Amino acid sequence: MTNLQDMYDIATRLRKELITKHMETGMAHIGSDLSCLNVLLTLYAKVMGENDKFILSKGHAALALYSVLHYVGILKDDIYSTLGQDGSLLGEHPLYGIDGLEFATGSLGHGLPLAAGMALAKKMSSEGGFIYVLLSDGECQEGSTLEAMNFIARERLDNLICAIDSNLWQAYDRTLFQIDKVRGVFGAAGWEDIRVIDGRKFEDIYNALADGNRNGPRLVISKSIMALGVKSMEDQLEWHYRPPTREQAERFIREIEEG
Amino acid sequence: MRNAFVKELIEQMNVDKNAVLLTADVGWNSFDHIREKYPDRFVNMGLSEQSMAGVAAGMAKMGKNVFMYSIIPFMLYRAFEQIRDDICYPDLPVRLVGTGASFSYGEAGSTHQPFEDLRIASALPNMVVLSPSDPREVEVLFKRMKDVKHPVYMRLGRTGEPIIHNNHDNIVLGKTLKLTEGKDILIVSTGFVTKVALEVAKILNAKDNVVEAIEMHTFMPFDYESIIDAAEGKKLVITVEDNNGALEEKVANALLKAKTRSRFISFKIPDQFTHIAAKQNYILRSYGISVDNIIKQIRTVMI
Repeated sequence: MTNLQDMYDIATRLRKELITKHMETGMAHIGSDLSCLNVLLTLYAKVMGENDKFILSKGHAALALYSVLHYVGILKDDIYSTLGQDGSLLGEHPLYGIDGLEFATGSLGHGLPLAAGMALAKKMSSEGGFIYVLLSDGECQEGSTLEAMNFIARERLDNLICAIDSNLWQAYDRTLFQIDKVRGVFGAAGWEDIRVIDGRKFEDIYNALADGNRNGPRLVISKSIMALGVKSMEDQLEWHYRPPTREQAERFIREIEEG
Repeated sequence: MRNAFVKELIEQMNVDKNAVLLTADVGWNSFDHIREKYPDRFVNMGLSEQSMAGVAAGMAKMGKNVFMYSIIPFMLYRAFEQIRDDICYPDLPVRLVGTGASFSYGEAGSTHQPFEDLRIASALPNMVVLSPSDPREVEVLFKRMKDVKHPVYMRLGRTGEPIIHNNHDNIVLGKTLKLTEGKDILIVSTGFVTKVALEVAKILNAKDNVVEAIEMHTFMPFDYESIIDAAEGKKLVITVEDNNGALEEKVANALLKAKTRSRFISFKIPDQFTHIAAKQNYILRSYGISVDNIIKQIRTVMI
């Protein structure tokens, strides 16, 4: 069993870093970042190997991905420090062509087909390794996601692991795809290996993503909440949009430190 | 044109183990041989054009040589944003091959009549747009396509287009093709209506070389310079296309930079849905895209 205790400390550090970055840059989507940070961190720090690839389909959580890529050393200081500056290659959604970013995501519903293509290409070439993709629960509503989930099941792409950050909000409403519906729709499309896990627990996340038993594609529904990990921000839609003010940021960071 | 494409694709798949064909439930009969011979590299995506574009991008990113195929509006219009974000922005060399250009599915109705595809495909940065006029050009452009490190959109007719090019030698991807020499009139065409433009040129050139006909089989990147050069000294410039003004606009743009001021007439599809089911020739004729009408209009201006 991999030691995952350190993940909690690292995640706490990155949560504080993200609150500061959003405050400094004025960028949106802090709530989405915090919601999926644990999954991203587990993937990059503990799960993914050399032959694996990852696509952030919910591209609006780009800052969470940048913070993790920076933590594992893929995203270098000289680029990470440009966040928020005019001319930066780090957008509020990922641009194309930076190490660690396979595609420019941000328009929802693109990630699952892209992951399917990468996984299928790997199979055709008899290459090892896995394709990981992280979707928001909201983007399950996109037709292209539904197209791809059916295709992936039919092709039995057992080298593809799709995680869904189930934080129960989409941009202007409660998500239409709550956990049971996500499970039902993927199940009806032919996905058999579907796991619902606690997105707060690194042990859960790790076990679901890293489990080597494979029989077809795997869906991991990570139960989360908007702005996970900062109690006074949690489950409030405004954090899909607003960056924290300096005063708020200081308060939220204190709150994290006090646990 | 479609048969020429399938023949070339089979040849490519024979020698290139990375070549993969994705189709969105289109190609019954045409692709049966490929499906049988290369079941691992033939993928029927089903009715999933958006997903097909994403899958194509993902595969290309992993080094596959991907051909994706469907009927033009379904492939290019339905999946436009996937093509933009996932294929064109990363500049991946996916080959998007669309059948049923313009009114080649004319009887199928307005949903199947893509007469705006040239502008739509050309709007995308990095996209190379090929608009061949006959099966021979499809062959040549297909073979040259392997050197193009960008996404390519190739539009095909499917009404048994006749061969109008005598030889392969002067068909060069990226270069304008000169069909006839002439001193007074320049006719610029693209796609299968080049056949009409060429007939007009031949008739008017019976006694004396008055018409220079050139063809833009490579629509993007558009070779503006060749139009500017060819327009020099011409009294009249004409465009002939199966689209609603994509060629007209580009040629007019080039003419603004030409030294000579010439008269300009365009033969194109108007900005309207046909709202009829009819054979391609009927529709083109009704819009004045016919040898008789073009010659008549030229005579009106040149007298």
